[in-house]
Amino acid sequence: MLKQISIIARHELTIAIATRRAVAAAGLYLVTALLGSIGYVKSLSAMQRKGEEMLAAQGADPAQAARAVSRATHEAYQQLVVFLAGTEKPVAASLTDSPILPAFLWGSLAFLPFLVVLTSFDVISGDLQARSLCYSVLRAPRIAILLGKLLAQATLFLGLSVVASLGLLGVAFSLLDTFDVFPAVIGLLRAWLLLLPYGFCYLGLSLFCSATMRQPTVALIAAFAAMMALRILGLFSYVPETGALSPLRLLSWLSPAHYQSGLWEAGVTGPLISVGAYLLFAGVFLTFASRVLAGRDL
Amino acid sequence: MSQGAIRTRGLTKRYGRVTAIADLELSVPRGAVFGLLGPNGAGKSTTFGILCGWLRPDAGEATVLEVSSSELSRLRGKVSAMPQDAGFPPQVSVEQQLCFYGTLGGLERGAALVEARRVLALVELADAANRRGNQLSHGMLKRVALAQALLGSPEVIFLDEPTAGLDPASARHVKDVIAAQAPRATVVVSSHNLAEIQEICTHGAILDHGKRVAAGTIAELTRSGTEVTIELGPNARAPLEALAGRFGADAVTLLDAQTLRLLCPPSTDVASLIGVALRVLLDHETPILGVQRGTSLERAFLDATRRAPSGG
Repeated sequence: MLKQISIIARHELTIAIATRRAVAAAGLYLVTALLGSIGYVKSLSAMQRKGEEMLAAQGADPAQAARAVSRATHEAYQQLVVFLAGTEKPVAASLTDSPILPAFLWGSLAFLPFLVVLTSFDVISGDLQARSLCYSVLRAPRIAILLGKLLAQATLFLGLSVVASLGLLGVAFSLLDTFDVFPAVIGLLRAWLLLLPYGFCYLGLSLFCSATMRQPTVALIAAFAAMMALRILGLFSYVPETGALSPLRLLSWLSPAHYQSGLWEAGVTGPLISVGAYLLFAGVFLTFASRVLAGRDL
Repeated sequence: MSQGAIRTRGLTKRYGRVTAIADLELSVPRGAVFGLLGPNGAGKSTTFGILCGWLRPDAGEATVLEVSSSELSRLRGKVSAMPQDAGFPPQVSVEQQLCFYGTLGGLERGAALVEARRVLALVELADAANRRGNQLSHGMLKRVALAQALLGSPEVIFLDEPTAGLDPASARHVKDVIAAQAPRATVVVSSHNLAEIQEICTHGAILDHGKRVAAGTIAELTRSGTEVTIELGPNARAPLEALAGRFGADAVTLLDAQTLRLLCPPSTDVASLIGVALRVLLDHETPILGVQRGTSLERAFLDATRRAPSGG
């Protein structure tokens, strides 16, 4: 079956790359990542320069002004990181060593699920609608077809994030005077490893919707609706710990969004719990997808 | 041909409250070209879908080469099917897509490419190998679908309305290709085209209201060994008494004003029955337009489904 999975994955990848929508989504991700990074870096540098100029205009010693602005910028940066990470707990240093990393991770966490759904919503429903799945099921088990398509989409998603990361490094290297490549690469590698299970979880959700619905458009709407519903469920974590509504907080555990802040945390426990939760979500969604596909009429 | 290639037992499928097929029993001998017939809503497509493993039955079982139809992928490459109106992806060429199905069916990549080219040539589409799914006409898509079903020379081939929408020349060619698969392969053809079934099939079953109402060889279904149909000229008066005196009253039936049916007694061969009948008719100067062994599959179909012709 492994050979069949790899044959299906290779073919699906060819089709996905040839699909203009996938290329457009990839381009959108790349352009957004690059423009976001450039904007972020430029505004950071501009603010720093403006601060130094203002202090210098007030007669401050340029060296002292630079130190003061640097200190203020650092404090603002720390607050920004706390805001982006959405956690009061200490954030992993490797994710903040390079100023470009928090923006990248936050942007990826916010937009990657949409990108994953946009590139994968029709991988099964498209075949169901065109009935081309009828050709494959006589040659490979339905589970192999599902796993082959999953592998293709996961590879596409991996490739996208690698390209985006490389683009990000290039931008940072060319725009940031103080850019240090080594910590940025380490931080990107960490962010990338954390994003894999995260994206995998939403890929599982998208494939489940795709296996359930015969119409690709309906599959897309269902995936977005499910994603929104899970995000709303995640908001229950903001319900006060004491009070009549406090039991509702438990519902947020059922949402992938609940584990998002754990990815930022320093140490091993927080990120591990989040990674484990995302892999569990992915496993549950894929099990549902497999059951639906195995039992459904084509 | 003695061992069954396909068998169903107590096969039942419901869509909500509607029972599409109920307790269906079918047996298709190895090497047969088997026609699956039935009026609209008879359960033909449902039966076909279950046999191909696309639909899940609610009860009973269907086996192909002694493997449950829900696990046909276990036979990898030994069973293929051509669904009605299934598409091919517009992103890759037809040759690439067939090559993919070939490798998925167990062929090595090089062999799959050779095989893809062979089957495309077989359906006279060698020139269209580099075209994509969305660059083909309906008829071409149909032939690519047939080529897909012939990949790797499978032992069992399911074809749903294989000539629907094809021009006469292409339909003729497709029928020849299908007929050439037997007896090496068992072929199941689902079709509304009774003349086509009669022409290319060796066996068949007629379904109605989700049940099998007739099954057997095409000769048995059309009663070609036991019955003779004679078409008389316009305004002819059939010499019924003379014929009844020769063959017995029960053996002679006037189906309509111009069609006479004679049943062949068990000990008589059809050729001598035709000879004697023609002699009687000629003696009575009855004009004869045609003689047919048995009846047409259309009439057998209408008899089996107890429906009158809708005119014409």
